[in-house]
Amino acid sequence: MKSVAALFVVGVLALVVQGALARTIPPPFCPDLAWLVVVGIGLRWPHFVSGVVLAVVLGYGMDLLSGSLMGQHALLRLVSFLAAALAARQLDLSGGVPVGIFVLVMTVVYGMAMVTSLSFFVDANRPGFDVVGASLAHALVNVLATGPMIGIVERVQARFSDEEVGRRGAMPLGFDSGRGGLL
Amino acid sequence: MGEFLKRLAAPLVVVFLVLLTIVSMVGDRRARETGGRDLPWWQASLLEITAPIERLVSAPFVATRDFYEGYVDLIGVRAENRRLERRIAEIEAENLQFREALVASGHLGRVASMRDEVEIPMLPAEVVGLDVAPWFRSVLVDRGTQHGVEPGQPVITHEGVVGVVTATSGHAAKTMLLLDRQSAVDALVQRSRARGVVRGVGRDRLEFEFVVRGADVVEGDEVVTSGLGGVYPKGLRLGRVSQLRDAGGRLTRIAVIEPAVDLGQLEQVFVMLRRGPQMDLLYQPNLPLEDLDGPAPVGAPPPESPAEGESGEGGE
Repeated sequence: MKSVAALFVVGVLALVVQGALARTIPPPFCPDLAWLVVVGIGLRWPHFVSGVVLAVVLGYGMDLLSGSLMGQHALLRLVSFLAAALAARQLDLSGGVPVGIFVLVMTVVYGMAMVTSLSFFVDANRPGFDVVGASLAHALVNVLATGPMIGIVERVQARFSDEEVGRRGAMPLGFDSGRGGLL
Repeated sequence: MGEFLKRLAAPLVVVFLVLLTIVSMVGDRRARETGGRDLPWWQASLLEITAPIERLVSAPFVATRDFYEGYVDLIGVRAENRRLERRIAEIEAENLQFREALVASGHLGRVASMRDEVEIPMLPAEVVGLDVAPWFRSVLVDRGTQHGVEPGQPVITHEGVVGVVTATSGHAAKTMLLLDRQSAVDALVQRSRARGVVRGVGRDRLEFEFVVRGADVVEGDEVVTSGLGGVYPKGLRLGRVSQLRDAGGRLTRIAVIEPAVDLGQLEQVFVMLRRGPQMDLLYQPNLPLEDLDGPAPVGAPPPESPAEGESGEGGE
């Protein structure tokens, strides 16, 4: 499927750009663009199985460029995808604000889950207030980058998808892909 | 039946992927316990492709930053230059005195005979990527198994310890920094020889945990590797104690350590291809001119100068 390949390329490009940004922007203030692509797929992509596979593959890519255990980002990106897909079906995520709040909460949960799972597998400190603080800072930056990233996912989907688009009829689009920003 | 299987496909895929990631994590943890690993072919291939691309994409960002920092650095450069000239003169005078003292005491021959012990092949490597996740501290360097780099080898700069190689491909290696939450190094205080463990906590500081009884640790103490633990040789500089605090009423206390190396500004590092038995000579105060000249030139192992018999300061 062209659209799946295109989303994969977008995810990899997001990872590369994120890596370049990380050289100049200190860690918590560098947006997690690749994760936002996964969230965008979860929110906007109508095909569950290909979406979940994409999330895990992009997660493994992140593991490769990060100091995490191999599979750690993959697992949490899978969970992020499931949460986004569920939220898209169950909640009214119309407009940018609800999606922004969703990304904010998910980023903090993601950070805590990452450090907690690390302390489970290796002898590392459990998450403290410093992790919460760093997660919040990271979450705010992620919220700012949410609009453009989800906009890109929507554009790719509209450009390449030759199948049913918008199968989730109940899920209103939260972003104006034409402007690529929060509505 | 077909419809039933079709409905079951999605949950089965999810369960399979969850199991796959958990198995990967357990496998990776085991590999790290045994000193890291060479990446499997598909991961190594991805890393081989990604490392140069990342270097290329980040080049404009790094150039902009360097230009700005270069401009800022120019401010006050004249005063700095004068200070360094004075320092060179002092060190040259010190060196002369040391040399004379060594010749007089007959130690020079012994210092020269230690050359074989101290000489450790160092591979210069460039940092091409930083960790893309804020929860971890690692870097990607542009040397891999093709250059003799293996998991478990220490990575240093002329200032001290950077971290350890955790995974390698042909032309790239992932290095876990001291600051990472997974990092723990057996260490001792250079002055009092008090022992403990230096841990990364995911921030820009390290924590040195030591047993209170009999331990003599004060602010300003230099903390070095103890040589125990099997990764780092003895005597490599880790950092300086900047603060002491209780560790929750237990038998241990914690000293906050300012890392010796500015791990946020890494550009060039050295991979120690072999560990030597005695490294105390390399990281003593009053190092000769490397102190002022920055990292040694590419291809030349920086810490060899003590073995040249030039100084021999603080060998004990």
